Parts: sequence; structure tokens; C-alpha cells
Amino acid sequence: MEEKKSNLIVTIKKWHTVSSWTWGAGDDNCGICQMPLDGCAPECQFPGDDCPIVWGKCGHKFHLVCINTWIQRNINEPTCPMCREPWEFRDD
Amino acid sequence: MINNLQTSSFIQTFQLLSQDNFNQINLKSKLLFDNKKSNSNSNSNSNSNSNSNSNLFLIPSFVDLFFQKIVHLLQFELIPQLYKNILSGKNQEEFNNLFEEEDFIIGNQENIFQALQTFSNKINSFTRFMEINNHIFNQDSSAKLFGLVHIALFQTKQEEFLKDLIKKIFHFNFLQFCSEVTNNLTDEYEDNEINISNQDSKIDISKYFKDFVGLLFQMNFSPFLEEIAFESIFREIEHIIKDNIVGDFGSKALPKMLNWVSNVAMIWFEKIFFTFFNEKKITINTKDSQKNSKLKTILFEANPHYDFKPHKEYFENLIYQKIEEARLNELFEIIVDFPDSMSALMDLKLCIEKTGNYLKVGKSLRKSYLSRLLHQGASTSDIITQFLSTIKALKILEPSGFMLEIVSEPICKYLKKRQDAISCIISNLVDEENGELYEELEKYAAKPMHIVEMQFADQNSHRLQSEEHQILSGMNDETNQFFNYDDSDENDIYDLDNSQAYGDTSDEFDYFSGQEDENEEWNPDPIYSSSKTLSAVVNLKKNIDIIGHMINIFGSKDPIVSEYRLVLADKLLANTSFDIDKEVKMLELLKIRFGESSFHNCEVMIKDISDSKRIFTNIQNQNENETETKNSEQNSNPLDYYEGEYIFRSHIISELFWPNFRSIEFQLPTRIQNMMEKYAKEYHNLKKPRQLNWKPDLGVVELTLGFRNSDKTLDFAVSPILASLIMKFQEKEIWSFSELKESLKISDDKILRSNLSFWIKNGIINTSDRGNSYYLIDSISEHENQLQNQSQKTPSKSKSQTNTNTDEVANDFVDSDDENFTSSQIQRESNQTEIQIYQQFIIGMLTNFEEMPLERIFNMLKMFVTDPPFDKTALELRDFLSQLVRDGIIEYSNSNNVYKLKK
Repeated sequence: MEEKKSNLIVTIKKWHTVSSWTWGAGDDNCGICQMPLDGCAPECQFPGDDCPIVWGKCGHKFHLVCINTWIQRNINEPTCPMCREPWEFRDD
Repeated sequence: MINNLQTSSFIQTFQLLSQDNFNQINLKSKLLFDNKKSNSNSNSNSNSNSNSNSNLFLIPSFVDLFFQKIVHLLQFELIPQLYKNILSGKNQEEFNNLFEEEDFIIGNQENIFQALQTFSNKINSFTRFMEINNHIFNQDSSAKLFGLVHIALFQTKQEEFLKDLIKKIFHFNFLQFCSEVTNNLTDEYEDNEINISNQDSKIDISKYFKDFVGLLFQMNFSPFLEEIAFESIFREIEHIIKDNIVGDFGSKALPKMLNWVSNVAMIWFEKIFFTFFNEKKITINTKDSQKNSKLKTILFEANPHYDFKPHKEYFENLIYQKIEEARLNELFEIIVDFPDSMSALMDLKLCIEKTGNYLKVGKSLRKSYLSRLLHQGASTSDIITQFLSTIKALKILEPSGFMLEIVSEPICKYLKKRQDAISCIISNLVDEENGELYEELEKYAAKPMHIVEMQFADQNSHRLQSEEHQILSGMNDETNQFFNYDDSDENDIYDLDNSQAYGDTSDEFDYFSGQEDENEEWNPDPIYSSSKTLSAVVNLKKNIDIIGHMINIFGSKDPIVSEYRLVLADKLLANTSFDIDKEVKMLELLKIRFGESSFHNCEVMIKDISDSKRIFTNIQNQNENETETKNSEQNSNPLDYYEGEYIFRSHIISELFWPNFRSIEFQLPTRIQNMMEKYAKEYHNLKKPRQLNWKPDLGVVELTLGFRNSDKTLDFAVSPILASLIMKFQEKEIWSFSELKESLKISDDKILRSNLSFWIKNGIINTSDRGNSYYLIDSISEHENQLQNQSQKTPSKSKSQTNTNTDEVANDFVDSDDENFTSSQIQRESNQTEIQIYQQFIIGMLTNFEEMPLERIFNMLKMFVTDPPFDKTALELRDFLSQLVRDGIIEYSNSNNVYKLKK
């Protein structure tokens, strides 16, 4: 059946598609600013590179700017604002 | 005896009179007069009263007799004779008809004048007779004579005819005069600025006409004459307006007409009456008698200095009225033609300033808009275009915005009801080439904010000339103009205020905020705006620019901003070259006008695109490096490149900031899928820990179709689904519908069919077997035939529903021909999801109440749904409900107009 080749030749010049990025952190909101993690914190103008998110070893994740502000307040013994465990950045 | 003799000699005189024997009559009356004079002289000299006594006794009866005779003469001889002469052998009807023609008047003018001359000569001979016998006739006698003539003339059946005749002669003469003046002018002056004061002597009314007027004056026609002259001018004014002014918006009619009044009409008017008065004055002086006819004294009392100023003013006012009337009637068209119709508009402006009919004009325009524009037949974009012109035009007519408020109120209300109004406004706003609103944006951005406001507040004080010039000169240099008006004194004030204004409005600038610091520029509302009739409707909002009016339609800028987001999403996604320069510029302009904070989403969207571009370049470079270093054939497919560019690329969006997209599930071609996976992997490498979620149905594919048996190729830019579909026909030429469905993994038949119809329409594939089988066309030539066939079929489709199967299938697809670019789906989709939130509420309500009419559902939703607040119109709700009916969720019962759940 496939012996006869189709008369048609399709040449693709550009395949311009659309995708959305995600931090891979699900649909959660940042526990501090309550904005979506894939969105951006109120302090930031743009999401993504300008407003990265970070994971703590406790598994909670926040916008970097948000958790930084939090840590500044208790710089010696930072805790996770969600679970009160000592805050440590997770290494990737 | 003597008396008898005298009487009989008078009667003789009359007989002679009626025989037209002037010489004799003059002689005779002279004799008689001398006789009498010597008689009376001798009587008085001799102090004998007997004779004079008897004379005195006889005089009244004689005078009576004289007048009786005159009446008789007039009635039976002179006036019939006059008409006979005028008609010169024709009957009256015939004559009337002929009189409509100019040539006839020219030919017969002389004749008519002569007839009147003859008539007047006879009357004159009576007067002379009376003057000679001034011892018999007292002062009132001559007035009585003219009164009699007047009555006799106008009590005949031909009264109207005569009046008509005089009117026509006047009018004809006036026209002749007008054309002479204009001819003279065109000879000597190139431009239209008429100044004929030094030409007075050259152009004159004809001698005949002058005599004619003189005659009529003598016959106590004076009030009637003035009336007729007025009427002639009046008629001509109307005529000129109708012929030359109505429909011509390109030239200013008002100054032309005013010029015409003072330099043509009034000259004529003065020539008629002034010359006559002058002559009279001379005769009076020379006669130096106290027995002037009453007529003369009346005339001179009324016009002691021949002052024609009131007449002129009357005509000028008339011109203002008439032109206002004419322009008002065509104001709708004037606005349609705006700004080409600027001259006509300036006419109207001057007229309204004179008459003060602001309310009338506003109401009339409002009325014509209601009947002519705001109806089903007018397209929304037309209404908006007209609205824009209206705003501009009425701002010129009446800068305070009073009239504009009257007119714009119904337009705004109506446009709010039109669902596509907002998208029309946005498309005008973002149209860099022809968009009027875009122009406004640019203009707005080009000048400091505070000055924008000042300009609208200050317009009242601008001199008309400069204002007009400003508008005509393209409005773009308004700012420069503005500084030119008041350059020295106030500049420093502006500078001060500017810095303040910038501080205040740096972030959020709403159009209302301008009112805070308007105190120093405060102007009272125009006095005519306090009219009770419209005060409820009209709420003067000053200093609003055109875009402000657009915002007014919707009550806030939010709909405009969110609509722009949709348009922007469309534009960005349709662009395959990551080119964002235009959109960046557009966004900057919008930010200046609407305030930055409203456009945060849009900024993110644009940044997404520029980031996407960087990533694409990155990935492409990496691929090339890989290919070079590894030189491994398996990794790089030559098909993945077109003219040196990697064919696969993606807009990587921050989804939360973009409008909602529809999504259609389908299977991409394996080749594309591979590229996609690779792209995602490389993205993850670049931007760890970020990942990509694909929206494979969105985007644009540029492809070329070629045929093995032909050199011709066809270029398309289509959606990924369409591309995947046509690529299937590369595998084999004939597909059944179910095979395609299976292979592409499209679950919805409708979507597949509409996609197939795109390629059928473009003549690439064809269908048979009731739309169950699809096959590739044989060659390019068939493709052309098919396209031709379709263009022939299209018009007949609606006529005959009994077509072949092919056509039926094609019919199904007619309404879904916008599949070319996927992104146009964004907007509709998102609108619907918005209202879908309410579906649960509606179903819940119907479960409880069983059946409800539309209004009740609407009111309930309004009352109880607060998060998010129900902001849809009843119309939108109805559409949504009928959508639910179509989906089989609820039912609509026609009998009592209620909705209920489907059981």
C-alpha cells in the first residue's frame, strides 16, 4: 500500500509553537506573598529569571525575594515561615 | 352759468384725457387754469366775494365729481388699457407661463415699462391738473388721488398678477444686477474679496427699472416695494444657499454670503431707494411747496438719513440663520467628511455664535444620530469612526464640550451595548497607519501632561483664526502653537506646574485626576448649558480628550486595557520572527496615556517574547556547535533546518500573565515531536529548574506545498493542526475520516472537519463519499480548477440547499473559516470561560426554582454572585443561556419564556 509515494511534498519552513514555562513547583502560591510561584512577587517586575523561587530543605518553596526579606528579620536563626523548621536552602 | 360752463369744460377735459390727447389737455387745462387764476385774482383784488363765494360753494361737488370721474376712468379705461398693454395680445395664463422664462422678460421689459409709463403719464397729468388748480384741490387731494389709483389697481381681479409682475421684474432686475457685479468683479479682481465701493458708478440699475421704481413710488407703492425688494433678496439668498452652499463643505460660505449682502444686495437696495429718495428730495426742494404728498413726508420721516443699516443687519441676520439652518441639516454629512469639511464647520460655528442656538444644534444632531447612526444597520466601526469625528468637530464648534455631551451621551450608551465596540476601539488604537486613536495617543505622548489639560481648558480664549489654523495644520504641532499664543508671561508658570504635574501623576494617571489642579484654569460652564431640559443628561466633563471619551463609553479604562491584552497576545503569537519593536512602542504610548500600572501583564508578555528569542538563538547556536564538534549525523536532521535556520522555535510564555488559551488535543507529526522534546530538554538545561509545558495547538507553521509532478509550489502560514493534517497526506493520498481522526488523535469531529475544510477551500484536498473520504488532488492544475469552482459555487450556496454531498459538507464548514491563525481563538475562548463561572449558579438556581425567566436569572445573579461580581449584561447572559441550551444542559420553553433544567 505504501509503495506508491504521495504526490505531495510538505516543506516546513518554520514551526513556531507556544509553550509556557514553569518552575515545576505546581500551582502553589508563595507562602509569603501569596502570589503564584510561577508569577512574581510584588517587589519584582517580571517573573522567571527576575523572580526565581527557592526550595528549603523542609520542602517549602518561596520566591527568592520573599524568603530573603524573611530571613533578614531573623538572620541568626532563620526558620521556614511555614513549618518553623530551621531554614536551609536546598542544594540542587 | 359760469359754474355750469366750468363743469362742462372739466368734463371736456376728462374726455380729452381719455382720448390720450396730451397736448390738447395741457393746453386746455392751462387755459382753464389761467382763467380761474385771473378770476380768483381779480376777485381777491376787487375784494368782491360773490364770485369766489359761488366758486367755494361749487368746489366740493366739483372735486367729488372729479374723483368720481377718475375712478370711472381708472376702472374702465386706464387699468384695462394697462393690462392690455402689458399682455400685448396674449392671454394672462399664457403670459404667466412665458414670464417664467428670462428671455421673455428681457424681450418684454420695455413693453411693460412703456405700458406702466403710459399709465403713469396719465396719472401724472391728473396730478399736474390738480397742482395747477391748487385753489380747488387741497393738500389731501393728491394723496387721495394716489390712494384711488392704488385701490383701483389692486382691487381688480388681476391684483395678484400685477403684484407678481412687479415682484418678477424686481427679481429679474436684481439678478441682472448681481450678474453684472460678479462679471465686473471677475474682470477686474482675481480673488473673491469684493470691494466695489469705487465701482458704484460703473454698475447701475437700468434706466427703465429706475423709472419703473419711480413710478411705483409715486403710486403710493412704497411699503409694498420695500417688501418686494426684501423678498427678491431673500429669494436670492435662499437660492444661492441651495445651489452653491448646500453640499459644498470645502469652502466657507458665510464670509462669502456676508460679502455678497454688503456688496451686492445692499448696493442694489440702496440704488433703488436711495436714487429715488434723492430725486424726490430735489423735486421737493425745487417745488419748495408745502403741499408735498403725504407719502413723501412719511418716507422721509421714517428714513431721514437714508440709513440702510437696519436693512443690512436684517439681511446679515438672515444669512446667519439661513446658513445655520442649511449647515445644521447637513451636519451629519459634514461630520462624516471631517476634517475635509472644516470650512463648512467654521460657517456653522460662526452662525451658532451669532444665534446662540447651541442647544438646538446639539439636540438636532443628537436626534439625527439616533435615527441615522445608532441602529442595527450601522457597523460598530462606522459608529466609532463617526463618533471620533464628532468629538473632534464638536470640540471645534463649541470648545466647552456642552454640545458634545448632548450628542455623545446616546452614542456612548449605544456603543456600550455593542459587544464588538471595544475590539473596534482597540484595533483603531493599535493601528499605526490609519488609526485615529493611535494618532491621539502619539499626540498625547508628544506633549507634557499638564499642557494637554491646559489646552482644552484654554480653547475658549483662542482666537478663531488661529484655532482653525491650528486644527487644519494637522494638529500635530499643537504644542508649538500653544507656546506661540502666550509665549512670554506664562511660560514660567507652566514650568512650575509641569514639575508638579509630573510628580503627581507619575504612576497612575487617570483622566479624572486632571481635575484636581484645574482651579487656576477654571472657566464657568457656558450659560446655555444651564438649560433645564438637558441638565439631567448633560454633565459637563471638561478637559477630556478623545481617548477620554472612549474610556467614557465603558465607564473605566479597564475594559480597554484588558481588551488590549488580548489583541497584544494575538499579535505577539502570530509573529514568527520574535519582532516586538512595534508592540513595545505601542505599549509605551498606552502607558503614557493610561498609566503604567495597568499594563504590567502586557509588559511581561512582551518580555516573554524577547526572552523567547534569546532562548531560540541560544538553542540554535548550541545545535550548530553540537553538529560541528560531534559531526554525528544521527543528531542533526537536515530537515530540521530551512535556509540555515532551525525550523522549530517556541514562544515561551509566562502563562499567568497571558490571556487564557483554548486547547485542542492532537497528535503532532513524530518529526516535530522529536524537535519539541529536544527543545524542551535544552531549555531545561539553560534555565534550570524551569521546564516547558507545550501548547502544541497554538502557534504558526509556515510551510510550502509542492507536488512531484509539478514545479509550482504553494506557500501557507497555518495552525499546527492544519500543518499536521496536511502532512498526513504526505504519507498517503487517500484518507477516510475515521482514519484521520484516529491518526491525528483529534476527539472532536467538528474540529477535524473544519480543519479539513480549510484545505478543501484552498484546493489541496477533495472529498467524496459523503465527507467520509478525503483525497489529495492530482496536480496543481486541478488545484486551480477547484479554487475556481469554489468561487463559482459560493454565491449559489445559500440559494439552493439541494446540492451534492460535497457541497453539504462544505456548507458545514462555512462558518469556521478563521482557522488560519490559531491565536484569534484566544479572545472568544476567554470571554466564554469568564461567563462559565456562572454556570454552576444557574444550574443551582434552576434546580431550586425549576423554571425561571431570563430577567429573574439575571437579577438573581446580580444579587447573589459577588465573587467575582456578576458584571455581564442581560444580553450576554442570554447568549450564554442559549449556549447551555445548545449543549443540552438546560431547556428553553417558548410558550412562557422560561429556562429550566433538561430532564
